[in-house]
Amino acid sequence: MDTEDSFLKLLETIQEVESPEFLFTRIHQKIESVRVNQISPRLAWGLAVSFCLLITINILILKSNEVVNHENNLIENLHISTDNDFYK
Amino acid sequence: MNFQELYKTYSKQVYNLALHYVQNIEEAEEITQDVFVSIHQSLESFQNKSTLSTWIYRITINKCLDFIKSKSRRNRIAFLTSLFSNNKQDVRFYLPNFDHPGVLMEQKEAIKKIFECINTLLPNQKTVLILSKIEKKNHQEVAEIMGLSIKAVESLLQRAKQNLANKLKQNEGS
Repeated sequence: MDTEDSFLKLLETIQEVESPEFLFTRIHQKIESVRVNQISPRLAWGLAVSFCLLITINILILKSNEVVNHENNLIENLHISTDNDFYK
Repeated sequence: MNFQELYKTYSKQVYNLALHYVQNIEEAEEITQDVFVSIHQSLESFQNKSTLSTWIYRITINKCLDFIKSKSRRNRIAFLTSLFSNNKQDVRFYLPNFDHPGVLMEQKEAIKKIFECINTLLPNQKTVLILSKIEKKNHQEVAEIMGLSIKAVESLLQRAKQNLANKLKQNEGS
């Protein structure tokens, strides 16, 4: 127990020191940089919704192109005439 | 209380606690900055469930433990890479750069050895030792900060002291 007491007594001799004066300036700068780099929740939601809308529109356009291509293929395979000429 | 007043009131508490955890001026400064940025960001959500001082103590302790964990991880990676290199320098996982301004010159070597052992304790044992013996908090205050019962704090402190004594004996023997 003597060893325990002696090292505990040593720890109790550690003194309090003042924090450096320049720290507040650095903290203030850090807070400003965090604030500037932060995206507001409204902006983030707006970007997310716009992105989803864009993807949805693209998918719709691609699907409508698919339907047109499918119709064209059908016309070609069945040799359907798209004009009114009987003789070619 | 505005942020600047809050800083004036609590900066010494935060800085000194960080020093006790990392025993290095530059790292304590970095932790202090992180703590106050965190306080600034979450001050509005502080719900007065504890005192402001207790809340700030908890933020500081968590930041210190996160910092130490992150530094140990980096040192461990460096150690693993050193296994494959020709440089056989011993890389220690705990913090090697002892520079605590609150330690008297004549006691520096002795206290450095004690901290080398404290740094190998489990985080909650290290915390209870720092709060009780260096910050000189009573058991009630330590219990409030750590979110434990007083009995749990007493038991934890007892274990921490025993483990520390064993580690110091082992180091003396080697």
